[in-house]
Amino acid sequence: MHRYIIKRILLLIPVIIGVSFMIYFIMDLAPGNIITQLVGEDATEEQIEALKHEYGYDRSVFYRYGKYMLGLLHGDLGNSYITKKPVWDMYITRLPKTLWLALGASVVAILLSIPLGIASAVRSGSLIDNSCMVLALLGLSMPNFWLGLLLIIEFSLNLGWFPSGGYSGFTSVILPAITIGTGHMAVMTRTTRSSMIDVIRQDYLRTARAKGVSENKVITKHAFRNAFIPILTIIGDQLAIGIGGAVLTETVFAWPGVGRLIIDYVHQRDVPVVTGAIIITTLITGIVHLVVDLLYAVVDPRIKGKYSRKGTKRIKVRKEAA
Amino acid sequence: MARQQLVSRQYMKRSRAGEVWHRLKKNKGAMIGLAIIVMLALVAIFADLLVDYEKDVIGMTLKDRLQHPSKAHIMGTDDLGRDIFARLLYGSRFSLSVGVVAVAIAVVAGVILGAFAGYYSGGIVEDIIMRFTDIFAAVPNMLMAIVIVSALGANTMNLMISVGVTSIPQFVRTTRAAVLTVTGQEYIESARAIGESETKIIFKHILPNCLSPIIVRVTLRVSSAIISASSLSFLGLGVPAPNPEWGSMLSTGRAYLRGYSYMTLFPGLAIMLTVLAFNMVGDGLRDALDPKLKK
Amino acid sequence: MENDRILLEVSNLTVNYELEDETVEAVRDVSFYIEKGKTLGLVGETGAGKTTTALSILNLIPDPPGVIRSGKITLGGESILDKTKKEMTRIRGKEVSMIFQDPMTSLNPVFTVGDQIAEALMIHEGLDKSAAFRKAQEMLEIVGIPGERAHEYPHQFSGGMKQRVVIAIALACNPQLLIADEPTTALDVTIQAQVLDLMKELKKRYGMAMLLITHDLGIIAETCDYVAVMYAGQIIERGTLEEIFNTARHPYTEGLFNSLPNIADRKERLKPIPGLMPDPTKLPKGCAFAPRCPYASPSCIEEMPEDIHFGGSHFCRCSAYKDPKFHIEREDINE
Repeated sequence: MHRYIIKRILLLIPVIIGVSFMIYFIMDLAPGNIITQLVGEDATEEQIEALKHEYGYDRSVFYRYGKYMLGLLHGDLGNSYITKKPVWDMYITRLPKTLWLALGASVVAILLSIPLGIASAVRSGSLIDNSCMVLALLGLSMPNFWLGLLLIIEFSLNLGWFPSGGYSGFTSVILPAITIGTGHMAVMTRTTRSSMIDVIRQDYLRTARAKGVSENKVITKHAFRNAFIPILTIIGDQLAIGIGGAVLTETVFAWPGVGRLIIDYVHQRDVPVVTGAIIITTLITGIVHLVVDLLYAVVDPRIKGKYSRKGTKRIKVRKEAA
Repeated sequence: MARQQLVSRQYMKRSRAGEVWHRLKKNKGAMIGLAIIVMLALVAIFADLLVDYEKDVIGMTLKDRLQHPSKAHIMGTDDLGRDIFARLLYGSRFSLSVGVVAVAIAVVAGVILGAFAGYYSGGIVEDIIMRFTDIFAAVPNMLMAIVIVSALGANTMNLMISVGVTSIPQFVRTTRAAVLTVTGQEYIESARAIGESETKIIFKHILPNCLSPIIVRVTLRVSSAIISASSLSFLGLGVPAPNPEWGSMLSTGRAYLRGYSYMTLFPGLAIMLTVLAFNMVGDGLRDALDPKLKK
Repeated sequence: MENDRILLEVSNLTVNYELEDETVEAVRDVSFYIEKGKTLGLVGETGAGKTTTALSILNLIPDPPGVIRSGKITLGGESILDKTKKEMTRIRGKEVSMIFQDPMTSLNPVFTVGDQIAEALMIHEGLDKSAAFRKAQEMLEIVGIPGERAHEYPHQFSGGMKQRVVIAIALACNPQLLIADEPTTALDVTIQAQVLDLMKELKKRYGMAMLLITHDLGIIAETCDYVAVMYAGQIIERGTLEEIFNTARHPYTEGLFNSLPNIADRKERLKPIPGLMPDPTKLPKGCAFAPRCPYASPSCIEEMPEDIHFGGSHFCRCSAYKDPKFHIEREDINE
C-alpha cells in the first residue's frame, strides 16, 4: 500500500513537468509578450534591447524555459514580470482564501446533498424525489457566475444582508460559497441518488433484512457504504473543480483568491505568475485526486486488495462523471 | 409468457436506433428539451430575418439607454440603448455555434485518440496518448481555457478552439474505456473465432457498441461548453464586443446591478434555458441507451 | 395433527404482485404446515410461486408491488401477518432464518464475513462486538471454514464457501425454522453435495425445521420428510416423501417424475411435459394444469379442483379423482 502511495506521488512529477512545459510555452509564445507591455512609446533601441536581455527575450524560448525549470528545481517559482515580487509570495497569500471558499462550499454541499440523494433514491418517484431532481437539473444548468450576480442583487443590494464582495470575515464567504456550492449540490445529489438506486436492487440487502436488520440500518449502513464509491469520486472531482474553477466566482465577488491572480496577470503575459500559479493549483488538484483514490481503499476492501498487490498499473477506478 | 412474446416481436421490427428513439420519445423532459433546441437553432439560423443587425444589435441609441422592460422593449435596453431581446435572439448564434463546434473538435480528436489508445492497449501508443491526456487534464479546465484564449486572442474562433481543446481529454478517456470494455467482451472473441477480419471487427462490432457513452457525453458536453464559452466571454476573454454573446451581456449587466437588474436577469435565463434543454436531452438519451431498462 | 408439534402453519395464503397494468397472481390459496424438526420440500418449476411463498413467511415481499391479499401464517401459534415491523425484525434471523439462491451476490462486499455473522448475534443475542465476533468465528468453524478467515471479505471466498458463510449467518442465532430457497442451485455439483451434507448435519445438530425450496427431485429425496408440489401458484399435491415418490397422484407430479432421465435405459427418449406454465397474469378459472394434462376433461377447465385426501397426510388437488376408479399411469422406476 505504501508503495502505491509513493508511486502515485512520484507520478505527479512528470505531470507537473509536462504542465509547466505546456503552460510556459503557450504563455511565452503568445503574441505580445511582456516587452511590448513595458515598453513606452518613445523608448530607444538600446532601452528595448536592455529590456529584452533582462527578461531573456534576446534568446530562444527554450533558454527561458530552461532557466525557469532550473529555478523550479530549486523550489523557486521566479518573480513576477510586472510586480517583480516572488511568485510564491503572491500565490501563497491568496491560496488560503480560495481554499476556504472551495472547502466550505464542498462541505456544505456534501452535508445537504447526500441525505437528499438518499431520500430521493429510497422514495423513488415520490414528490421529494421529483422535486429534488428538478432542482438539481436547474442547479446544474445555471451558470454559476449568474447565480452569484443574482444572489448579490437580492441578498446584498436589495436586502443588505451580506456584503457584495471582497474578503471581510464570515458573512462575506456565504454568498460566494452558495454560488459554488449550488453546482456541487446539483451533481452530488444526482450521483448519490443514482448510485443508491443501483445498490438498492442488490441481493445482499435482502440477506440483511432476512437477518433482522432494521430498514433504516439496511439503507444507511448496508446500502450506503456500497453506494459511496461513485459519490466519493464526485466529491473529489467537485472539490478539484471548486479550487480550479473558482475564477468566475472570485471575479464576481471580487474575492482575492488564486483564480483572480491568474486572470489579472494573464492579460499582461506575466509568464512566471501564470505558470507558477497554474503549476501549484494543478499540484493541489492532483493531490486531491490522489487522496480520493486512497480513500477508495478505505471504503472498498476489494480495491484495497488491488493496491496491496504488486500493482505497477495505476488503477483507473475513477468513472467519468456525467 | 404471451406478453413477452408480443414485446419481442415489436422489438424486432425496429432497428437499434429506432428503439432508442422510441424510448427517448417517452421521456417528456427530453422531448421538451429537444423542442427548445430546435427552436433555438431556428432562431440562430434565421436571426438576420428576425432582427435588424445594424439597428437593434449593435446600433447605439443613447437616448434609449437603460430603459426598463416595457412594451417597446420587452426586455429593456442596455447601457448603449440596444434592445436586449433582439440582442439575445442574435446571441443565440454564438452560444449554439461555439457549443457545437467546440464539441465537434473535441469529439473528432478525442474519439480517434481514444479509439487508438483502447484498441492498442498495452502498447506504447496507449501510453503516449494517455500520458498526454493526463497532463492536459491535470490542469483545471477553466484555467487551461483562459490561458489558451488569452494567448490566441479573444475572438469567436479562438473561443471555439479553446473550449474544444479543453474538452478533448474527456472524450479520449471515455472512448478508450468503452473500447477496452467492448474489446474484452465475448462476442468479439467469437467474431475472431469465426474468422472475421480485424477491420471488420472494429467497424462492425466494436465502434457501434462504444457509441452510447460517447453520445451521452456529447450532449452533456455541449451544455458545459456553452457555459464555458459564456464564462470566458464574461471574463472578457471570449466573443468580443459589440457582439451580443450572452456571457458578455452579463458582464455589462454587472456594472448595473443596482437598479437595472433586468440586464443581468435575461441573458442568464437564456443561458440557463439552453443548457437545461441540452441537459434534459442528455439525461433522456442516457436512459434511453441504457440496456437495463430502469423503470 | 397434534397442534403443539406444528411449528409453522400457512393457511389459504394468496399473494399478488400488482403492477401498473396487470396483476401477477403469484400465490393462490396455498396451505401447508411444518412440524418441529421436520423438513418440508417445496418443489416446482421456476415461476411456480415458491420463492414468493417463502418470502411471505418472513413478510419480506417487496411492498410495492407485492401484496398479501389474504391468508394466515402462524409461527408457534402467533400470527405473522399481524406483527409490526419492529416485531418482524426480531423474528427474522432469530426464530426464522432464510438463505437464498445465489451466494455470489448474497454477501455484502464491504464488510468482513465475521462482521456479517456477528451482526446477527449483536442484534438478536445482545452480544457486544468482540463477543459476537468470537462467536462468529465459532460459527465459521461449524460450517467448515477456519475461524481466522472471519477477518476476510466475501470476494476472497469461492462460491461454495460463500454459501457456507450464508448458512453460518442464518444459523448463528439458532432459529427454529430455516427457509432455504434453492441453496445449491448456483453451485457446482460436487460442492452441492458438500453443502447439502452440511445442512443435514446442522439440522440434526440444532433440531431445526426446514423449508427447502428446489426444483431438483434428487435433493428432495435426500433431505426431506414431507413434500409439497407447486404449480402456477397452487400446491397441487402434498404428502410424505414416500407417499409422493412412491404413490404420486397428480398428473403434474407424474409428469415431473416421468421427465427424469432413466439411468437404467439410456436409449429411452426423454419425456418432457408438453407446453409451458401459464402466464400468471392471465390464469384460467379452472385447473391451471388442464391445458397440458393428458387426463383433462372439460370440467377441469371450467372448475377449480378441490383438495382430495388420500389418507395419511397425502392430499392432491385434481378433479379427475372424483371418479374413484381413476388412476394415473405412472411408470414404475423399478421396472
